[in-house]
Amino acid sequence: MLTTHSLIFQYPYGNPFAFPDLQCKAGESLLILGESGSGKTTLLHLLSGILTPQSGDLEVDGTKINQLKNTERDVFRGKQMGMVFQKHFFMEGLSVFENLKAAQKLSGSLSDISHLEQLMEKLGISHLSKKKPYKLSQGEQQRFSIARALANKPSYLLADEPTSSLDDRNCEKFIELIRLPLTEKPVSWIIATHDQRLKKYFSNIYEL
Amino acid sequence: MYILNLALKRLISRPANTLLSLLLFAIGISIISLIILADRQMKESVQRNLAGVDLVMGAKGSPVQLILSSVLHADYPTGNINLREAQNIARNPLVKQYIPLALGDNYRGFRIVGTTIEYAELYNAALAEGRWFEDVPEVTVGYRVARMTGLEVGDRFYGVHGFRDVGHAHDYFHYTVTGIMAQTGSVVDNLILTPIESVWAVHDGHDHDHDGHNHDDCDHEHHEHDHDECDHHHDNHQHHNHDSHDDHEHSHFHQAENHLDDPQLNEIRLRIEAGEDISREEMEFFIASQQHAHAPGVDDHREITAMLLVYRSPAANIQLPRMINESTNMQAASPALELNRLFSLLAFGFDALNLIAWAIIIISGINIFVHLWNTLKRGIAEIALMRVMGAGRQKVFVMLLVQGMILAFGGWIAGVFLARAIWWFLPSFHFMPDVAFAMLQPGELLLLIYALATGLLASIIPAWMAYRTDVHFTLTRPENA
Repeated sequence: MLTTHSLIFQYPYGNPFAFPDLQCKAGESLLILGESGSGKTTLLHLLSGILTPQSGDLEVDGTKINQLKNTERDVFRGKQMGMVFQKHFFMEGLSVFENLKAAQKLSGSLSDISHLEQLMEKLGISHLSKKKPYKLSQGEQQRFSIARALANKPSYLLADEPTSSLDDRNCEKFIELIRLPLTEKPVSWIIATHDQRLKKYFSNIYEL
Repeated sequence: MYILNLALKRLISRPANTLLSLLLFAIGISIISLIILADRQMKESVQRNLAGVDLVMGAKGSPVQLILSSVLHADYPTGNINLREAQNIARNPLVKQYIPLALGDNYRGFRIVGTTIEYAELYNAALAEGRWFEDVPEVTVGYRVARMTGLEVGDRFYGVHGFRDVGHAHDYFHYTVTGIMAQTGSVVDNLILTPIESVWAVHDGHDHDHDGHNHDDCDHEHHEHDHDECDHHHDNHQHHNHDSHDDHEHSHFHQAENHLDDPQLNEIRLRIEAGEDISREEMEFFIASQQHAHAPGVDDHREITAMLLVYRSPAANIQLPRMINESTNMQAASPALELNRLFSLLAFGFDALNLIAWAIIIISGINIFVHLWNTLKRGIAEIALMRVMGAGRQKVFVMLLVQGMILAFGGWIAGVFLARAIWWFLPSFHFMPDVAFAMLQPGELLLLIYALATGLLASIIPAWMAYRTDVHFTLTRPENA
């Protein structure tokens, strides 16, 4: 269960953002719709602990994120939250598989190779495991990004504009992907986007 | 450990930059490493070659040249000195041992040294094969000489005049190899030792019938001039045969003693033996009496190249060199002193090289900094991603530091190996023995500490940048969003 309560965040020299209270039960998904500059990314970064709110509360599965120390918050994010970005980031020197492993190692989780292999299998990128991510196609990179986000079996998967650069067909493919039972325990997708096409797939929608 | 792994992977993913950083660092390290090796090698080999020789008497000229030619066998001699005159000085209670050297010929570049068996003993040379030289055409060859020329016991060869392979061959006089010495790690490995009379025989040889040139030659010639001299050498040979070194070492001294009938001389001698100082006047008086005892009516024209002296008492150092330099036509030079002088001259060269090497290391440090900085700038999103994946600030900070340290450490290892590779192929100096320097030198370990400090210094700013990375800002930059 993820809940926020009167979150307020202000950039230096900027206007404060006041965010509506959110609630996302385990296994449920959530769509945050908003135009550019409406604070979608800011909200996602608040939820993941990358940013700290000036006031308000953020609780994830009983942990008050905004009260954690910096390093604890980093580890909490690494373990409990996967993140997918519009652009696909990766560590250049590492292969696809090593990148997935890095996600486990850097968060301090025990490495679970069979889980990674299953993920790659389900996402259809097993044959790419030894390749460097920059050699992958856009679609492959997106599946790789999802695999990495799920490497630590997180409860929440935060995605920032995952579909805005995709055409309709690929957008549908993405929806199919996130509906796949990729992990044993259900994952809550929290997607921040301005892409109206996604609206029809979600029942739980917050508009900023 | 995983951070180390990541740091390595990051470096490997930029092979060109990484190799350049390593190479540059290695060049600086290897120069310093070579200097350390050369310095140690030179000091050690020189120490071994000094072999306790306190003073060298030779013809007037450059003292450094005298030491180089007669102790390290690396330069041309300064000239010849009269044997009798040199003996008169050397037969002195201040002197424990004196060894004549007669140079002049070589065999395939290896010097033939006319001397006594004491010279080999000075370097603790042992026989590997055969026996020591005893009579005139006989030689005992050094370890390296045998290895390089293939000379074996029983072989005969001609000497070539001078110190280089090419020259006038004394083809009327052949030497016979009676023995081969074991390795000593000193200059003796590169020498061919023979009785001093051999050298005389070669150079007087033109005037003689060459079939009978050993004892007969000596007896024959010396009967005319000087019984003592020839007897003296025969005495020596007898001592060698009996292998009684102790007796032998003192033989010169006892010979001198025989002439001390004057009570004043005796008193001086006793005081020297007791380790007391004597005045310059007393010393000169003593030497003069020695010359008196030996000199009258004697006309010995025998010449040698140099005489090596070992002191009985350190007091000799105060008196003897000055006395020789001022009141004879010979010069006295202290090997330790002259070689120190030479080293201090070489030290300028070493210092200059050291400076260049440190300049290279500092530039390598800057190069590491630029490498890390560029990688960080280009791949700052990677750092942000690591943070997203749960790595704390400290982890990325340490990772950058480790990258710098790996480059410095790798450069150090490569440099140390490079130095040994160069050392291996370096043409060894004539007086330098073949000693393997595989071992790490203490100076090189110190160098490792400096190297790591350089790596640390070079990476601390990039590491701080990585530490300060603003994840949100980096991920939302226009090029990333």
